[in-house]
Amino acid sequence: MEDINRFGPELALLIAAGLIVVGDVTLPMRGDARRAAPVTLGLAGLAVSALWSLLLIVADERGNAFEGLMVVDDFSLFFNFLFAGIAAVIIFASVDLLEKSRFRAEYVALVLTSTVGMMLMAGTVDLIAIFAALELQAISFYVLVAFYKDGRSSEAALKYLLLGAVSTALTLYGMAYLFGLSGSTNLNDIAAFVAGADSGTRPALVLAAVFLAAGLGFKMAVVPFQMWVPDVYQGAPTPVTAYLSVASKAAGFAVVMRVFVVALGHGLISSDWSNMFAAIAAISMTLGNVAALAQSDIKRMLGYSSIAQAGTFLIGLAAVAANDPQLLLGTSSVVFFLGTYAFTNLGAFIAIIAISNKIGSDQIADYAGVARRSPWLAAGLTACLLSLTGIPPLAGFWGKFWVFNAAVRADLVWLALIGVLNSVISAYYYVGVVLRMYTQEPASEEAFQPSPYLGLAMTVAVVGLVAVGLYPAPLLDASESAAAVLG
Amino acid sequence: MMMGLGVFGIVAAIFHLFTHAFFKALLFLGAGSVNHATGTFDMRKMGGLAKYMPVTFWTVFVASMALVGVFPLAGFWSKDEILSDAWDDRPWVFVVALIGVFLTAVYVGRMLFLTFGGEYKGGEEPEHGEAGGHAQPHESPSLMLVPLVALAVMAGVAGFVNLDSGLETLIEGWLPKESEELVTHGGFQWWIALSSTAAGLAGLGVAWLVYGARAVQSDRVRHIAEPLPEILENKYYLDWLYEELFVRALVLGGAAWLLSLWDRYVIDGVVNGVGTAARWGADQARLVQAGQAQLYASAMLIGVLGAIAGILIIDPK
Amino acid sequence: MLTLAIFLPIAGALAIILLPKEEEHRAKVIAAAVSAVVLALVAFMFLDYDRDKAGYQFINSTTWLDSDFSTLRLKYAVGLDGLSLPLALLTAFLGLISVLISWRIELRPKEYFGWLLVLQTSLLGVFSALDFVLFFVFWEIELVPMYFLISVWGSGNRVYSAWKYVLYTFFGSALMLVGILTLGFTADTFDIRELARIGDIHDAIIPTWAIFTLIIAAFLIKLPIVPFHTWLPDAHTDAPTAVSVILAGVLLKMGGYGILRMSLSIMPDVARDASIWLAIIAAVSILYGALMTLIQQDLKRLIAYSSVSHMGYVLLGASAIGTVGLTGASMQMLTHGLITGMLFVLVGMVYDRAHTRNIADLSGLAPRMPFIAVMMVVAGLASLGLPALAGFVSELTVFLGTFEKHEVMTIAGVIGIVFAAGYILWTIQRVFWGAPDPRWESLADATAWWERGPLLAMTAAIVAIGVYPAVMMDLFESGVTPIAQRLG
Repeated sequence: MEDINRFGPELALLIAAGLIVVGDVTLPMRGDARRAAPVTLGLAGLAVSALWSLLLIVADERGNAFEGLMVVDDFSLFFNFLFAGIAAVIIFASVDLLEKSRFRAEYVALVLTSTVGMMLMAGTVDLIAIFAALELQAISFYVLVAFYKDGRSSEAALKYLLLGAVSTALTLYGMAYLFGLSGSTNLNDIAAFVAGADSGTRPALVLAAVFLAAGLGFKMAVVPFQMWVPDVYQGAPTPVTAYLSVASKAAGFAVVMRVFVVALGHGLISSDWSNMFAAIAAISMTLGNVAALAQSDIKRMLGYSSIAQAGTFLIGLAAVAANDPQLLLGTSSVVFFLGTYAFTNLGAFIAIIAISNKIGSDQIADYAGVARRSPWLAAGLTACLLSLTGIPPLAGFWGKFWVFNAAVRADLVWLALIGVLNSVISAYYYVGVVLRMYTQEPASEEAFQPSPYLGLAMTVAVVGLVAVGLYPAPLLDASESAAAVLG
Repeated sequence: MMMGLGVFGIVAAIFHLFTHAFFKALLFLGAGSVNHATGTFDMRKMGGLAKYMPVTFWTVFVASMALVGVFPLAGFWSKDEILSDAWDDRPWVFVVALIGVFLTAVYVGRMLFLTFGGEYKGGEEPEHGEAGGHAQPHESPSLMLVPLVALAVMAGVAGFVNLDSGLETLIEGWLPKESEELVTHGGFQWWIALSSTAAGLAGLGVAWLVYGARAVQSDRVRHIAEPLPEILENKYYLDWLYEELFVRALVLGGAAWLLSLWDRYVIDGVVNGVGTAARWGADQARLVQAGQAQLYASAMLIGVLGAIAGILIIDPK
Repeated sequence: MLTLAIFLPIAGALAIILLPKEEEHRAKVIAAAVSAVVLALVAFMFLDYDRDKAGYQFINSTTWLDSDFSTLRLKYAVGLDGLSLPLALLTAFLGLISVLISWRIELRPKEYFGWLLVLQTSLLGVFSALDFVLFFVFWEIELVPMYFLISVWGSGNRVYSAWKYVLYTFFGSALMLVGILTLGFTADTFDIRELARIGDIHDAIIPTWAIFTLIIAAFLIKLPIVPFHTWLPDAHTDAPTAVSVILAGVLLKMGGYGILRMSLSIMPDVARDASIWLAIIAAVSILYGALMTLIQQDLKRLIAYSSVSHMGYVLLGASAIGTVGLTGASMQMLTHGLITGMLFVLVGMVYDRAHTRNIADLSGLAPRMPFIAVMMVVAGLASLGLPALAGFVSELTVFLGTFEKHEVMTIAGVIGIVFAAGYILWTIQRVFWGAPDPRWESLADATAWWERGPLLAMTAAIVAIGVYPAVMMDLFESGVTPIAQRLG
């Protein structure tokens, strides 16, 4: 019963997903009721899930479940809230999209199952369970990407599936190595093994680490495992793109933190993977930002920008192991950054959905004069883009601040320097969009408003990123206690 | 004025520099006022303006005397300090300086006599179509005169405060307390003051002989000093101030023009070049992203191999 | 009270943004009222400042952020001392003026005045922050309003200029961020008072000169010095008048203030070693700027380049690393802010009327616009350093302070004064005197209260400081003396 209790947040979502699908087929609903049911039920499921997570905290029900496969700790709870919140925003953002579709129930259900997958990615401490969670998340996403069923969307989904399969193979390979070496699939057992391993096992451990990093790098979307990103981001329905760019990436980082910090953080190869992540971070930031400069499609641009942002998160991971006493500082900075990034990127995507719905284009050039036609949307998008650039006092600034702070304290000043210089490059394309909205003449003077759902989601995101920007302490405390359990 | 810096107290030099600003500004505005009345800067077309524009005349006169260094105007005191310091330090500089004072007096005198002395010579010919004329020059509007008078008063006052080292006292009051020790108190030597005043008066006298009383034909002077006046008068047709500025602008303008090229093409070239290079890189990156899944998968595998090789080669242990 | 003064403009900006569209003409009234209150607050603090006690006063301090894992504590701490108080006063003063001279802005007035107010908050914040990270936050906030103000309300090649400004500054502040983090890590605090008390840090993870360079880079770009100055002529020229005033009057001072407050007082050992380099850079900037000024054809560009030259004196004074030089540098910041601010106001008025700033096209304007002409003469004479006007005292103090330390560089700087006399007088001559041009027959003088008021106020300030500089000089001296003691 205790196991079920600790699995509650996930269970609530699974039940909601089941109800949505079954209810859609069996219940005799018509018209508006039928249209509204999946969304309502999905949001209700997310609310119950979050509430349950809250109860777990209040009752201090932290601990293992299912014989150590799963764990409820501050780290997993942080991500439970994060993913539930993101999923709720995504469902809100999808309402307009769903109006036109027959497959509302399936869509919402898939969002919920992918959320379960991601919660488990952050909450499992056993390689087998991690793998299952990864697949649950991945398969849900394959379908979501293909949701439009037009040429673009299908092609994107196919690419995502193919490359996802490669990444799965790589992940499995890495896991197999770890299991083969340590004889256990439990992260803590592996950690014990790694701590006592002699230097002869180093090459094998390096292989395992690299394969895992490559497989998970696909989820995090870092160079050179990022190449699916622009095509898939552009082809997928925009809410799904937003979901991918925020949640899937965060889940990838959650797993990487679990596996690398807990299992491989102490001992033989910690500096090896730290160096590897430092290199990947530098390359990802630079390539992502430079490539984003030339984009004319705003979704593709945000795709490249998300690669660069992932590179910036990785700075925090590189700082984790570079210097043991700073272990937690690096982890907490990544967790914190993921939180701020969620607000920021979701806000940006919602604004894009709202704007693109009206102007019927994803081309940056068509954003000319949006400020005059829809001042609040433009202001919201501007806030999000400035936050992505890292301008204070917005949430994104603090994300970068903490990550660079961790890097400096881990003796990685060079990496921090590359990071800040990349911020300068990124200013060019982020602010470039702002420029078009504010200084250029619109094609038409017709004013427009976002739909109420989008408006609400947008408001939440922007208020969040301003609030965190002005007073980051609560989010920082949360991410520090989340990181503390990995130590 | 610049040679001052090499030989004496910084305060004297700087003070001279700034008082210089008084007379220079005054002369400038005076030139503007005269130009307003006559429509020209060519002094040979002026003359007799003292009668028509007394305020302008007197203020310019004060400025001129101060520039020459006539007692007790501002220029006298600062020049005096420079000269005493020069005498103590390097006497030959003192001699050169005296000659400089003399020559300054000559050109200032020339300006005064040509512009304000004698009879009015008609100013600029009225251009066709323009309502014409400067047949009867008149005093400038009070608007232009106010700054002139204010500056003239200050040029005078700045001189008087120098009596009894009042200047130093004043400056000390203006400066941070800490700097008091830096302000030196120069000694006053009568003979130096007299000799510089004499040099100045001599210069004015020469100017009077040539341009005022016409006792000496300016043509003959010109003949002796060939070809300098030729250049100065024919080439630029401007009063002394403009000559100086235009020479400055031409000589320095060349340097400045080169600098502006440097600004535009080198510095901004680098700045804009960084942008261009980044965009070029972006285009290259886009080419790689051709949409082929095989290529993408290959990149992942290459990444894996690269990472393994990197770790094991860089740090084989 | 200080906190109130800092954030009141933001509150005003919010109020303006929430105005309904029909009421948008009230934006300027709100902005003026808010700026006036801020000026009153800062002026009150200026009078209330206890000059005998010196040091930071009006301190508001509270913990902002506390990290469990690192010893990092961020504070919201603001306060003013003798160095920052006059600069805050200058900011509030020019803030009000910039609102007044924008009285005729018709294009999107809500946003315009809103951004002007946001700018005020960030500038006041920069001068009063007592925590290095807070300083950085305010420093960065300023970019956003500047970007919008130049790119939307500017003229000419405004978008390019706004870009250039933002990217240059952002580049500098990116480096500064790394410097701040390294410094804070090594010294274990971000509190500016603490950092200054600790003085030079040792055993940093990177050499201290590298930290010094990272931090001062941002300030030197902002100042600006050659060769990082090319953003300035573009930004000044294409910005709307009020923004040029703020830009030249206050924004450049952020660089000078940063050098005094951060670079010199926090890392005195390195600063002492670097002083000769700073002096050389300063001399180059002074001469380079002056030469460039001589050949400018656009009035605004001309004043912009003269700013490069004049801000060189700030750096020159700073390089003296003694009380006199530092006092001179800070005085120069204040007086240059007033004088150049006034010059930009005047040039803006000329441009509004004639629709050209090309010196060759303008001629004989004085009879048409006598008030503007007189004001121009006053500002021009102040700019070239006429005794009894504000510019003289500060430049003289800079030279006095620097001469002993860097003789040659000081002489180079003095030569810059000679050029200044040349370009200022020559320009006034060409534009206001000379043959009246029939094209400008119909131009009107400045008659509106919002035109004359600011000009007269600025004149009063310039004359007052010129005649009785002690009112500011003593404050500045009390502010820089601790810095000089650390350096000495």
